[in-house]
Amino acid sequence: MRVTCLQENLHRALGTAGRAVASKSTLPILGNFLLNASGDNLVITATNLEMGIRYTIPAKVQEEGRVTLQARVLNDFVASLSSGEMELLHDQGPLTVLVKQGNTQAHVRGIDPEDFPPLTEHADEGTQFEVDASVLRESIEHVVFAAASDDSRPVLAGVQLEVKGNKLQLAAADGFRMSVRTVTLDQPLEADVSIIIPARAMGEMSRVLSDASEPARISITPNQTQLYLSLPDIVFVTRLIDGTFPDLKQIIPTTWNTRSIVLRDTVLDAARRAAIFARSANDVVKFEIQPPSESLEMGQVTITANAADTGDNRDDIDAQVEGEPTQIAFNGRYLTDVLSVMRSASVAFELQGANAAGVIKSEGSDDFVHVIMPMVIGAS
Amino acid sequence: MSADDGRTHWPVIGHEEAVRGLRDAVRSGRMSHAYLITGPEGIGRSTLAMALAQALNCEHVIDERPCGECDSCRRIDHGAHPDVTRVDLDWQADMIAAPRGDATRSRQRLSIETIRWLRQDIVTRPVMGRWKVQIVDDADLFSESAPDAFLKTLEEPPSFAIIILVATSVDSVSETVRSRCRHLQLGTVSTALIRETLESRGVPPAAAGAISRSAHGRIAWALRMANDPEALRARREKVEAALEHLTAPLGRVEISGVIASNHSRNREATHELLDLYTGLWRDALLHRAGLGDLVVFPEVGDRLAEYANNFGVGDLRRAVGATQRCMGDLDANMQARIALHAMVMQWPR
Ligand SMILES: [Zn+2]
Repeated sequence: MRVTCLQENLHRALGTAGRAVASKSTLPILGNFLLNASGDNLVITATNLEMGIRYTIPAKVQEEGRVTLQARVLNDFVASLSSGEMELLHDQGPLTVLVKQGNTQAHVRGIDPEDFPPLTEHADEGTQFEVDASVLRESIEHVVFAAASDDSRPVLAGVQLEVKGNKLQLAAADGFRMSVRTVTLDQPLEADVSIIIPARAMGEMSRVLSDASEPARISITPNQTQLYLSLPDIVFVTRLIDGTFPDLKQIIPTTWNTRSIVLRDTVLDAARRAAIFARSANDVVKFEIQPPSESLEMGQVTITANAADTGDNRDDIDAQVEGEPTQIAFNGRYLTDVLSVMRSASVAFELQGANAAGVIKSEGSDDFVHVIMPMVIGAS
Repeated sequence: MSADDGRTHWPVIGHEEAVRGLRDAVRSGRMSHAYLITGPEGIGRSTLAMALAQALNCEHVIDERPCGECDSCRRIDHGAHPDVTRVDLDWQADMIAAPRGDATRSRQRLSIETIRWLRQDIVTRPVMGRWKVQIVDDADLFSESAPDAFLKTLEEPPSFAIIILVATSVDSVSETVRSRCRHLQLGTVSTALIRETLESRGVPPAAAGAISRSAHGRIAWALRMANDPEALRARREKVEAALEHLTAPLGRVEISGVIASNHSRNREATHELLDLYTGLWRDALLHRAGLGDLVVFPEVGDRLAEYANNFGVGDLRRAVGATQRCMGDLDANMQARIALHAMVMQWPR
């Protein structure tokens, strides 16, 4: 291999692909980048078996070749160089690469690439569709936090992706809360899709999408073993989880007895303040909701928390309230989790009473639904 | 020599019946989703498990699996196949304990965290092969809560998954786990076959004879030792030294002090030594119980058996327990001098 490229390109590629390098592994090669120089490109690949990232940068290839190099060392050395041209070549046999720029050089040692896990080229068969990169990233952020972090049920450590016609739906649930986000695709799909993607990989996918402005192309292998996300320079691939995701229709309440609309920033601030006191009281944050009455011109949502040892707080928030007065308690962390990823100016809380799951929606839009289980309100 | 019928290449020496059964299962597609392979350490249990993984994912036509040559067979052999995972105590130390900053790196039990990892991994679909294969070595070292966590996976593994448990004895695996597995009991390999195998791999006849005799049927152990004569010598010395500590009641307290004073400099060495003590006491217990064919240190078997006869089964069981407890105490950073002293005081004399 002998190849010349720009340091700024290689640095960016290593930074992005590096997200898939295995931090721990009994297979040392997973701690390496695979570099493949061919045609007019240098392709950087990393994988931790659950997911993989392939980043392509333009390069002048004098001699084609493949090598794997220790990821951390290569990344840190390249990061220390200046922008502009740099060169990679073999001068000590096929497993060591001389990396040089001007008067600076290093030999980086590698491992034979034959054991590097294959990141199969995605075939043109299977399901494919395009979705705006920033919309996809925002949608992932809307749901991924609600996935289970323990393994109570393996499918809950994943995010369900469904496509029916032109509706793409992402959903995640951990048994206490559930997030569902719907996106309308430009083109309807002929065949329905339903897959489960590991939540960790989904989080990395949203980071990969963060700089992208172009549409992202999603491909799912015909036997539904892997999902590919393709951007002009990047391919992101993840394994898929086998199993049956909970039936969302059974989880999302369809009716309410009390509906209140509040400004999202205001209720988020109040929830954050309540969380300070709720910390030492099992994260219990209480909502008390009053519709307008003779003594109350506007509806009101009162948010409180109290802990025997640290104190208590209270926020009274103006709200549009329909239906009956009610109270309910939620986990304060769950509240701030969901309110801080939402984007709409106002949010609606739809409640059926103290002991039933509550629904949080973006006001004026049906594309996001969050369901959150109530906590038991203590005797106090 | 092997149960190969000339078309397959099972890299297994001996164990003809087990290989024949597995080969027929692979060919007919009548696989069980869970296997339990038992037998003494070093007789080739993991090799058989890896060979089964190769046969399942081999790229050759079905009658010729495993071929031992294709990319899939090669990767499994190198431990580099994305769909085949082999888990043991070393794996646990690297993958689970170390990243959590768990300095204790417990080498005594397969933890609940390891089981959780396996449960989450088994549900992701295979990406390269047809089958997702998990091999759990040291399955007799499941911690108490682990089998329960594992049962659901064993009960309903995904259609593409095969789990292979490897254990020393069927009695060391809980009945609930065992009943969900197809059981393959492996015996030892004949000394003649081990010798023949070593010689066919270029080991000089004299060395092949010596190793095969002290192998006591443990083919994998013999191959390991043949590849590394230095390891063979070093191991013999360590086992001899540990046996001396065990069988010399008067020097024990003094020795425990020496170990304790070296402990902070070399924790790994303490661990290795305590591992040997545990193994030797366990062997003593096996000799005493008339199960001498299951021992791990047959090379000192005669002396250990004779020594074990001085004590009751309860004494020996207590010694195993005290030694294991000491390892746990050291992992939990108890003062080494106190932990080691407590251990030797509970050894029978
Ligand atoms: Zn093969």
